Amino acid sequence: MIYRIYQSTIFTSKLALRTWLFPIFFICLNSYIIYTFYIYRFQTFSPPSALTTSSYFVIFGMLAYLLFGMWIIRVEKSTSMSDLTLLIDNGYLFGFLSKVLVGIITILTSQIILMASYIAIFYGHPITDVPYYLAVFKYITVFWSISFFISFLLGMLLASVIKGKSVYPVLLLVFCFLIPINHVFLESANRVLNFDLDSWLNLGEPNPYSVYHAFYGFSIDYFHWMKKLLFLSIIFLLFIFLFIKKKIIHLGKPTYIVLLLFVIVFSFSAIEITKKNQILVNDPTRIIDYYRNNEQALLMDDQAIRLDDFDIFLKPNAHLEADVTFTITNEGREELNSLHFALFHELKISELHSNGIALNYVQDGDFVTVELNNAIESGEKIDISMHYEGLKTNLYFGNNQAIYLPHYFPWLPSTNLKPAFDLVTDQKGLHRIKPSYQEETNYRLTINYDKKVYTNLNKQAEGTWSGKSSSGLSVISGMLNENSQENYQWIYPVTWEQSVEDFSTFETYFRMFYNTITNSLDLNIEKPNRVFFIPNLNISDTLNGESVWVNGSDLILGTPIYIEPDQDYFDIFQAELTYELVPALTTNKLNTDMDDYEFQALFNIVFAKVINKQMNINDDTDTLKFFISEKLTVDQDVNTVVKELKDFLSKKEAEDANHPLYQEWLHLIESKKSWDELYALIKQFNNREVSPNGKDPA
Amino acid sequence: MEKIQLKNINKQMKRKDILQNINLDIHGSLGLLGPNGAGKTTLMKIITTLIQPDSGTIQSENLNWENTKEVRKNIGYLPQHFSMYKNITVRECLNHLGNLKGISMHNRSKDILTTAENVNLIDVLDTKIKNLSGGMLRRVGIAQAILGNPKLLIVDEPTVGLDIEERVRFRRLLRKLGRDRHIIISTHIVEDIETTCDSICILKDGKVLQTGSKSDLLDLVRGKVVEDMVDLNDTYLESLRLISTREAGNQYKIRYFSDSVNQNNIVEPALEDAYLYLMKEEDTNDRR
Ligand SMILES: Nc1ncnc2c1ncn2[C@@H]1O[C@H](COP(=O)(O)OP(=O)(O)OP(=O)(O)O)[C@@H](O)[C@H]1O
Ligand SMILES: [Mg+2]
Repeated sequence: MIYRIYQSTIFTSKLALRTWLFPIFFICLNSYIIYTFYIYRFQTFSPPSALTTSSYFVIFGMLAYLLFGMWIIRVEKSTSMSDLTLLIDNGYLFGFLSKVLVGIITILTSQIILMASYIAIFYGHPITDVPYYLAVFKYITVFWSISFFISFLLGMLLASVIKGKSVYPVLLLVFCFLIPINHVFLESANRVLNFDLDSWLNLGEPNPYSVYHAFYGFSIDYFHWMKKLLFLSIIFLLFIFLFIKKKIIHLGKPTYIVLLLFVIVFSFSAIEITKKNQILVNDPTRIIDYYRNNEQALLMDDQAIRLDDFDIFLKPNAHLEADVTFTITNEGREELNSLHFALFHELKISELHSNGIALNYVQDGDFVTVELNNAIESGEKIDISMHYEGLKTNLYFGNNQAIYLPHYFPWLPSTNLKPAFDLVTDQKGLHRIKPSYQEETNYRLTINYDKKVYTNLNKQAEGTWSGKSSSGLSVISGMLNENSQENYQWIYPVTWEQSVEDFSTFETYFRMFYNTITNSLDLNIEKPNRVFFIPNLNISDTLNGESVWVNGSDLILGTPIYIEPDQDYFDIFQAELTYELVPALTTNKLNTDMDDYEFQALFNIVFAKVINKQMNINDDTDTLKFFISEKLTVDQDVNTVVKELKDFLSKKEAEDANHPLYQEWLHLIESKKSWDELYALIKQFNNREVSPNGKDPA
Repeated sequence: MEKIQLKNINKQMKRKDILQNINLDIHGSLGLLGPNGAGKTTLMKIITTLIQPDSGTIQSENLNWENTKEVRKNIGYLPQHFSMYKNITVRECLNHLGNLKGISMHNRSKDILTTAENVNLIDVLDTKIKNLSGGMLRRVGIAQAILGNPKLLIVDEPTVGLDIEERVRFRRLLRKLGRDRHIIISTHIVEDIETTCDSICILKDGKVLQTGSKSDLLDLVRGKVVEDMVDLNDTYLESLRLISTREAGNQYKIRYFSDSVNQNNIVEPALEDAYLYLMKEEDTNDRR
């Protein structure tokens, strides 16, 4: 039987090769994409973009394979072949299988050619990580090859079902629904159905307009495989029904077995798809919209409770699952009947209990309220265990592709009764509100993960960590590389290999920066020795001070996702870096109120500008001007401060980072003072009026 | 192979009766004779199992046609409008079909050679289908049908579109092929089956008008076919049931059916006469 199919496959291949049209198309298509590889190697260097910007290739490829599938059925309809093979026992079926095989062979050949070309063009320039190339392989498989195969089968199916020329409009329709830019056709359907029909049907790159996320990697999530499997099983089931109807196959044991098999595959993939899956989504404004529509008021009173002894068990598979147990101590004087703590709203709690007894709880926005069965007395402790899952965003991850659960994000319960994000400034930018951990907290962490996991705890054994931290817990993993420079250990995405050359530039700069800022502001901060250099900003968050974070000896050096650092990155962006680093070392660690942002940002930006100058870094950014004119919410108080500040900054003495104003300004922030006090402070220095070289302010 | 019996076959398509109550025995070589649209192709497709009758049974001694899988193993079929992929050679075509029929690689090349010899295709085995003449292509059709040596060969209008010489050769070929298997040949040309078939079935408008051996058919019109010499402007010609007219000098030789017993000019009937006779009978029956 296999031999018959094999021979028939050879025959069908010959037939296809002799058309000339299909071989030529095949060559053109593959040459086109290889040329794209070439461009992304020698003109705009970006190995991942060579794949993710391939929409045209996928669109043409899908069309070509649809037509190819149609042809391979039609070529027979113009001959007596279908009648003849029908008369042969299993003849039609074997003919059909051989056609499917021809499709598979063509697609596999293409896959091999493309993978080989990719490796030939990019390997060692400078990426050499096997996991990366494996991901490339998976990407090509799931978004190119399988999509082509589905198109091919659909072409065959349509040509088998629809007679005559009417197959063409149907083919075109199917094509429009399935290509990566299908939302052009389906936009109104989306609106009517209130459901992203387009991304559901799209067989190509899931986020055709977004850039490659170097930290998360290609979005080859489990979900996409299951979706393809679902498509394939549906198509094959349709074929089986068609064949049964046409009496090409007879009902009998083998048929039932095959049918059962496909029904199983179908059900499996359908079930898997409807499960919670964390996928990389191309909707940068989703979080902004959420907070715009859910302005969370603080209805709860702060409670004098302390959360400690976290025992965390993370299961980052198709989506994140977490089992967390912690101790709550009532540190107040009154007994407590309910507890409030913060937890990011996309982490859905499904179970919550205390010592085995389930408790009622309400998750409202970023807050959780737990009703206690028995009140806890002052000084009493109880253990709370909860199971939560979810996470579906491009700002933090927890699935089998990557984990980004940074300390500054409330992925663990915390006593900070503030939402995780706030929309601040005149422009309503996305601002992260750090959970507060006033005291040192004990953590135990367990994760089973196939990639190296980085945390700020001490490793105990494979997959377990424990330790104390007073600034929260970070868990980071993904397709990352390590590189040890002189004083720092670097962790960065494998596709950023080029930037390694520039790490020393950063180190030189950072030494100077650290010295300058600690001296002039009299800061007592541990000097980090581990740098996470990763994209952690969304396209839509553009506020200052959101990308760089310090957590003990860890420095998270973030970038927007659209940046692909190369060997000049730190040379070019030093000035900008200062604007991110200043808040990281000053205000980001403060436990502040939500509306303090602008007050703090003004200081950070002014001071960054000053020390850039001090460090002789060419600062041609307009950050300060832009912040004052576009972002600052202006009222009477603010206005007077800005005026006064402008006066001050025009003085020569203002260029000195050691000027006492800056230190005092920071103290104002730390002691939660506001615009009035700041006005008084600046005025005080302005009135002193004696600049060192005696010149008047211009 | 044993006799195949068709009983009460009916078939409708698009609410039109295509075949009505067909009863037929197939043994040896059968000629299926009928005008265009008589239902020959439909009947043949039913026998091949390509289409299902609405009612009726087909059966041989130890095989029921319900069991399509078994039946198909025994059938070679040349469809009415035989065509093939243009870009392959005759050998590739036969090889492909032989492969699908499950003839092992080992036997296949031998089989293809003997078959090609049988149908006179040896010289063109490596010619592409698109370069073949109509007759040659038809031979390819026959060759694929007899590949694997089926017990029942069904050929639908094998001689249409062939020149006279080729047609004669084809008849000879079909007779040869009918020697060791059942063969059903459909045609609307009487001569095609005159010399090739043991029995004949005449079909019109989906009904069997007559079945039987050649002599059974001839008996129908024996004593009814008359030949005369006439002038063309003779007025009584109109009332005659003419079979043919042929020029003979100043006059015309006419052949017609006559029920009156006029011994002088009665001639020995030909199969064609019987066929035409039945057609005309049927037409007049229809008109009544
Ligand atoms: N698929 C179909 N749907 C509807 N009517 C059909 C179909 N196939 C055939 N017919 C009709 O059935 C009748 C018999 O057709 P069939 O092809 O069997 O005749 P035939 O004797 O083979 O004629 P010919 O000598 O022209 O080949 C014709 O009137 C034809 O129009
Ligand atoms: Mg016909």
